[in-house]
Amino acid sequence: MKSKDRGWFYIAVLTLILAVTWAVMTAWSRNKQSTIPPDIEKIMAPLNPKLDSVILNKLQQKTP
Amino acid sequence: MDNIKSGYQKYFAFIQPVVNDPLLRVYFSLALSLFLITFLVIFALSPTVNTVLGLRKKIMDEEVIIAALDAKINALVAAGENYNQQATPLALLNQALPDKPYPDGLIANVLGTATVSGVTVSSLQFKPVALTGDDNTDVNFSLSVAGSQIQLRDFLVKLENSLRYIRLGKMVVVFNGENGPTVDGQVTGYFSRNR
Repeated sequence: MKSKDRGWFYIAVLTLILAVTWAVMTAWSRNKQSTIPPDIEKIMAPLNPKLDSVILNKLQQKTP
Repeated sequence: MDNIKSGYQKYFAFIQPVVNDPLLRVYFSLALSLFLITFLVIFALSPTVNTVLGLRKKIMDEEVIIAALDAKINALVAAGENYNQQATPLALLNQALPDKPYPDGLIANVLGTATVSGVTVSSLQFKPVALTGDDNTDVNFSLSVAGSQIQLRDFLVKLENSLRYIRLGKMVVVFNGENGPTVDGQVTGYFSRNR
């Protein structure tokens, strides 16, 4: 009877460890997941405001 | 009444060893407490923590969005200023690399250059151009021109240096005796759909 009750104790400890691990993993994956919608991500893409002046000067030189 | 009492006695007989033995009582309480904590972790703590983390993540992502959009607004303002400064060369860019194939522009270009160089265009044949789809960005055509060697050279140089972005392919010079040389060749004109 004693060893049987100790067995329940071990099962309880392992179940608790499993539950805590599961909870931590769920929280971690939730924290990693991005909440930014894809269309907003597309709008957020950076824009380079500089114009290639070398090419534009070359074009001006080509003008007859 | 006796039936109820005998029923309870049956349960008591089952838990009596647990209640009487102090060591078993401790293990039993501990196991039950741990199961209770597990239950609370799964059904109370985890959803609450997930909700809090989800909201925190959403706030952080929205701060990132605001920062990125602010940077983009500044970049657009700078791009607008640059565009106003370079308006004339940008108009040339539209002629050099139009957003549509415009084969008529290429024909006018070839014929205009031929007139300036004094050569005669005897043949001009375009290959089919796909009007839709992003992959295709060139217009291929073959031409045949006749004139003196100097005129033909001048024509080819001028054609390649014309404002519309053109690349000369394989050129074959044929000497026809008294008629003078002719040049048969492949030419590619370019355009950019995604602009």
